[in-house]
Amino acid sequence: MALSTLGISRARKQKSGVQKAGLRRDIQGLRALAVAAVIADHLFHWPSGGFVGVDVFFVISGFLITGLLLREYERTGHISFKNFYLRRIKRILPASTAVLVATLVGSYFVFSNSRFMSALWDVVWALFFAGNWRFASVGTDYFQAGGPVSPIQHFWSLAVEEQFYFVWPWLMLLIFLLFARSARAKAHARTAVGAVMVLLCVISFAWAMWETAHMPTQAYFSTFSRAWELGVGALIAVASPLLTRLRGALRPALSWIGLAGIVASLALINSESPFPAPSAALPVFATALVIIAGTGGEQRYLSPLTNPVSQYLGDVSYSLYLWHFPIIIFSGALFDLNNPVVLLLTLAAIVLTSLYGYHLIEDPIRKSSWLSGDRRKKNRAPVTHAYKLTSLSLLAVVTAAVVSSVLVQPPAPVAASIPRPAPAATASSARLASTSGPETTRLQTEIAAALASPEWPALTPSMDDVISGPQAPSDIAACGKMGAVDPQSCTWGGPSATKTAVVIGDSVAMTYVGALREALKDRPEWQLKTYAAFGCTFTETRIAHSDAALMNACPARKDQAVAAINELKPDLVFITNTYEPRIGLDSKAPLTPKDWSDSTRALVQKFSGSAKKVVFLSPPPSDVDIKSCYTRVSRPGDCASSVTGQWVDVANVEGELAKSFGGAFVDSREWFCSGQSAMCPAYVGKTPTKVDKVHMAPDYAIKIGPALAEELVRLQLL
Amino acid sequence: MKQRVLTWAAVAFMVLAILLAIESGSTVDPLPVPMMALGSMAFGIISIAGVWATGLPKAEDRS
Repeated sequence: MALSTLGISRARKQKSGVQKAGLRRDIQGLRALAVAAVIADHLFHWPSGGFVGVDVFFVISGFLITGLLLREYERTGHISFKNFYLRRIKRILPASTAVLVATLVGSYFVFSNSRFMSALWDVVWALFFAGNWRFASVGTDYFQAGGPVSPIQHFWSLAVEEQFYFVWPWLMLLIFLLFARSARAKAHARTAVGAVMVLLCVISFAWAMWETAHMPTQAYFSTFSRAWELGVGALIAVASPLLTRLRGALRPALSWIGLAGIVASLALINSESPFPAPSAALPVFATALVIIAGTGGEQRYLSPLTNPVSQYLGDVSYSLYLWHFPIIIFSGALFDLNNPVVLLLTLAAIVLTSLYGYHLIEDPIRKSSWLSGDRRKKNRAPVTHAYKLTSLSLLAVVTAAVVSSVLVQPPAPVAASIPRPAPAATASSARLASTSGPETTRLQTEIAAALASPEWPALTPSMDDVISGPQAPSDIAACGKMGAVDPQSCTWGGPSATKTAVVIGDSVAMTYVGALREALKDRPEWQLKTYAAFGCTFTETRIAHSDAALMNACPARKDQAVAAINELKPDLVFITNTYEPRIGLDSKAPLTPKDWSDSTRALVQKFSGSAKKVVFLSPPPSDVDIKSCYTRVSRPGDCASSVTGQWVDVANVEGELAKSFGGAFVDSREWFCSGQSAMCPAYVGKTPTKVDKVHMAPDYAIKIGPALAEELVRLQLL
Repeated sequence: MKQRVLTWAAVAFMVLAILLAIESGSTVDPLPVPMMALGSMAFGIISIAGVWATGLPKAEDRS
């Protein structure tokens, strides 16, 4: 983040407006505003555009770094890359490394193994200043995009800045070398740097426009789509000799217009806005106005930014930015962040930890001669200091060993782990017995027992394995990839089969293929075929998806499925899609239940004449993502989910659709949720039910197979 | 002075983390105590880093 550039504070008084005291007060105030906006957005989800604080940091960073390099070149005739990078390391690395280490330790104690491993890889990428590419990759990867947020996801912005620091100084040096042949040419070096930066900004902004429209997740994290924001700051630094001529009366007006622009962007921009381009232009140019107004002249009448509180917040803003996100993620994993008391305590923890980190790590190191090449003072630290650090490190190791041995409990033995059915289970079973078969009743008994259990049993497979595992067995999953389906390898059933069932739908349908295969395995007269696909919602409306390749390939897959059904004329067509809110690709708006009904009807009409029965198979109800809620300290009750209003609304719509097509609607609730309390446990018996928020675990698909068969028989479909 | 305070703060946080972790094994409401243990350990780690940072020689003021 831009806070890395406080090295400028040591610069001597310049005409460009950097004050002798060190820091430009307006810039410190901008930092305070930016970090406050980011923290408020992440913690309180307000203001909606709080994330633009990062864009403010980008502009500041581009301005300060470029100004630093230009001044050094003009003063000495060269740029010392060694000193430049050592200053960056000294400024950025100690504090960020402390956060990464603390986050990793916290992740180990709090998260499940799979989430800890994911955090570990995030840390590795962050250490190599490439976190933004990691998060772009994860965010656009279909199988990972719905996963829990990394506790160090905010390191993406540091990575963007680091990458800028790796490229921009060298580019500047190249320009300087080209212009170093004569004194006359040398005078134009600054102009040339500006010209190159204008060109880069235009290219980067154009790229950001295209990428935002086509790959928004990638665009958000991409260095190429963000470079223009740093570039705008760099251009101000290049133009700073001209900006000193600005009339004094104009400066307060410019700075207030800029400040108003930043505040407006906090309110006007939200997660639906096309970002970073063009929406980020507002906070970027607004920040530029504030910086321009203070370049080469003193900032007056700008107390919101220049007051002592803003100055102090600006000082500690890097530390606040680093610490806030992991603390929020850990707090959300352990407590209910909807509770105002928890929110306030989390804020207090952020402030306390950040101040502690700033005064104990960041500030002393910045003021020290570490990495500064000051040989005279090297090795002056007393030997006792080394002993002290060694002893404290040993104490830390002992503490970590004790804490981990107590807090990280091994799984309970199987025999003790399967709780006996609670009284509620019996009552529930009795109530269901009149309408449900024995398999469903057995599931209901186990569901009630799971809901009553205060402890996790020894699950088979383990929750960690399920969470980090696939959504479907490999042979089924291979059929769900985009591209033409191989009918041979995506068909199950004996050669003597006389009846055909076809599955279509999205990834939820893929997870049901395993259950249907289990349900039909003792019925040789049936064969099962799937044309379902991961990330492809089987409605007529095109649905927006973070994975552009999947989204673009989906229509062809639906066409292939419709053509196959019309040719096969199957006995049953099972259609299943997630009931999670979907965004229409063209309308850019969430589909209402009526939209869903119209869109699904339009698709089913294309093949309903060829299928004897169309069966609407409802997805598992859930409002809890097991990947986020399952931690080392969570209890089964923390991860039990309920049936959402959204689920019920879409289920009602599909029930009506089934009637209108003369088909059937299969209600999945009895296989996942208690008939009595409508709560859905994260495991049933010894089997985890979900791999994430919406997808059934492969082993659970096999477990519900008999109950599914029982239901299909009851509905006279088999 | 600052370094001495930090050293004792680091020791205190670490010892507190151990005590809280042991206590968490016997408490009825399990969540806050282990979290306090973790928080205490985190502050202990920062304090140790602070002992190192405050022990670094100061840069010369070349202005």
